[in-house]
Amino acid sequence: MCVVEFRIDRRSGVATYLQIVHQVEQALRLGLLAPGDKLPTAKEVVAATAINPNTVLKAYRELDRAGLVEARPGLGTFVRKSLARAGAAADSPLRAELADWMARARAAGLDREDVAALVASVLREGFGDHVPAGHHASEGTA
Amino acid sequence: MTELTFLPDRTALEAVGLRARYRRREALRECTFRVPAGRVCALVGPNGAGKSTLLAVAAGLRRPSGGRLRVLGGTPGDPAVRPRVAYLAQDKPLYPHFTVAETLSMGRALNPGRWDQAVAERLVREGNLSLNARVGSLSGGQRTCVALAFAFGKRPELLLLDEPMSDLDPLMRHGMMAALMAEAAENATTVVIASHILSELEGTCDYLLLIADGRVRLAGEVEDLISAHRLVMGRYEDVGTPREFAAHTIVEARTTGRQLTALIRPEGPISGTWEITEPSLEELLLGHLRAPGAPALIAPSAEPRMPASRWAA
Amino acid sequence: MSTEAAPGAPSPGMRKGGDAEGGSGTAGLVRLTLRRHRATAWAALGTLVALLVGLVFLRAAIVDHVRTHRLDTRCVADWGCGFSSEAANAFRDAFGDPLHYTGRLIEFLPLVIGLFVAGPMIGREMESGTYKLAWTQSVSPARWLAVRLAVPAVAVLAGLSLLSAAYTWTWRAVPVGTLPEEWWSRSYDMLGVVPVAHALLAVAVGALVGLAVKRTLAAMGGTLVTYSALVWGLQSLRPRLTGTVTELSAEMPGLIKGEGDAWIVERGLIARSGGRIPEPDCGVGVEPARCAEQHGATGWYLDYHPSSHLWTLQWTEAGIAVALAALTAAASVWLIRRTYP
Repeated sequence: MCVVEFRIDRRSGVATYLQIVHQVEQALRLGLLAPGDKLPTAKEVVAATAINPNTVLKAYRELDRAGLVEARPGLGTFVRKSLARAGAAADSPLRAELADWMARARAAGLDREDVAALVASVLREGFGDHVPAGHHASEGTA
Repeated sequence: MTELTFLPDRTALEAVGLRARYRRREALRECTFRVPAGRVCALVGPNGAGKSTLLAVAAGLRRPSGGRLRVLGGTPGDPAVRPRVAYLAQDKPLYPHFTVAETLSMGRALNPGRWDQAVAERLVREGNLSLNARVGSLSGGQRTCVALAFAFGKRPELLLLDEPMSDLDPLMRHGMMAALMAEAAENATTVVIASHILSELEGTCDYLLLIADGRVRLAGEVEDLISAHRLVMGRYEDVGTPREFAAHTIVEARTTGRQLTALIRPEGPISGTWEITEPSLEELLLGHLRAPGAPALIAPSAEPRMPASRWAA
Repeated sequence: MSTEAAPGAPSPGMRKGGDAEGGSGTAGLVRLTLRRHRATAWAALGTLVALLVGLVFLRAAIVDHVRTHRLDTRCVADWGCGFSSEAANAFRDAFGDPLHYTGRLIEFLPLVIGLFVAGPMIGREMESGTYKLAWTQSVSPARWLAVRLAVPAVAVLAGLSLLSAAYTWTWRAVPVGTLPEEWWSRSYDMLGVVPVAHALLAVAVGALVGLAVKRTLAAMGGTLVTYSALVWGLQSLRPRLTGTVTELSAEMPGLIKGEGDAWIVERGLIARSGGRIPEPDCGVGVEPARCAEQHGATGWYLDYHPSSHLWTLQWTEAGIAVALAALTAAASVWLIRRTYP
């Protein structure tokens, strides 16, 4: 019985294991996955998506390391904690403020791309250079 | 199932100075590499690079003309190795007069004590094939499905596939690839897939062996190989390569108008105002295929450990 | 293509499920070989049975004819009766052709078997690439080859032995002198152990050529040439396989009394020095004695094999052919071991 189904986009340029990590995180944020839920086994994921089993296991290890899931040998991988936060909920004041700001941006004549670029740059300022996918690394040490 | 399927210390395939020659042409020259057990390894290279020869040598169908190749710790074709290796040749040979069921029962007869009829039949069902269909009446893709089922039924520890998916339709390709990955997940099977369909490999393979002109160009974990490279783009109007690249290994550099695009292996921070990204697997492979003179990169895990492995299983 | 004796069950191993058979996979290879050539095996079995039944009836008819017309006694008493007696003529008309053509068929069977091994059995497998399927299973190429040699060899031993025994048995019923074309020296290739030995040689040659040439048609062509050359060699060697009997006379010796079906190997003059002048040129119409005089010879000699030599010759030749077959088979095993791991 699978609670979540992973969607792998091979053309996105985002490492496959990170896509799984993000999708689990997303499902945790949105409450699709709750503590105690069992993640699909590597074999189940692989049989549905035709990706490398080591990739799935690597994603699960990553989630385990982040404390989000826990591996119980012989039983499977289980969700340990939820990421759904009060602040991110649909009716939170933070969200209302952002919606308000978005309306003002539109009124000022910014289109979707302008807003996205603005948000991305503020995100970078606020949270540092952690761009998903470990992809657009800005300095190139090997 | 949380342990990785691969066992880094065990070796599926390793070659030292491996050579193979046809009458005139040298198909493999001085190939040296290692594929750890439990990996799904992409064997990539242009046509005529020696991919098929390498697989045929590993399968015990050809004798190398020099160097050494060890398969699961033994020599190819050794009675102890032969039952543990399955091989799917590029032309997917099958007996056309046999039915699918007869083909599978031949697999059982030729692999006594090893054959897994259920696995083979599952794959045949995956391809929507009747067991009573005559192999000669099947389409190319359906034959591939039977040939894959035949290879799977042997329950190999090492599965060598030469261009396995080229004539499958997208649905079958997905189904077969999924079955392959599930098999690898369940039994920690080492899989080596020769292919030049790069999109087929992205996401499925975690190990890479790039050969060109009979030599190994890249070998190692896909992730390590990718993170050892950077794709550098920027404005550049002088001739030659920028001076600040001198400290690094340049795989390939191209100038289009004012823009320079380079695939490099950085040896430290890259100075200058460049847009620096990690290449995708496809960009990495294409870059190396376009630049046959670039120095080879063999990751530590892909370096042979011949003396130790001689005593391994 | 007619002597693969025992074709397997129509579809070997169609059972589902459990994997009962253990062991080396040799049994699997045998079943695979029989399955792959199922149609041929059945056709061969059918032909074999038809020929055997035909020969039994032929012999019965011959025996009946001989008894009814008392050919045996008369022909034994005077071997030349076949040329005058009406009963002998009737015998020739009735049985000459069936016996002759059955004999030719048996004579050429070894070649046909060799061509089959070279082409459809091994050459085609190499040409179509299906050998890659068989050789990458749990059994080794050498084992595969051994089975590819053993299955037709056993079929030949069983099928062709029966056939040549039946033919020899039928042939023996023919009164000496009635069918000069079927004298033992002319039917030699269809009698006794020689066809079986030749067929074993053909199997080995076919396998070696098929393995070396790797193309169906080319392998068959190569086998035709190689096998024919070997058989030609054996046939030229044949008269020397055991000592001949020599008859000396002043007149040119002709057909020897009581040995009308002797195999004449060489006839010639004996020079005064004691040396031999084989097959001298005597000119048309020259008396033999006069011819001897012309050549300054003391008399004539005749080297021949009496019919009593048949079995000595047969077993010696069969021994040589089987030894050659073994050598050839060893060569193909060596070839496959050297080329493939």
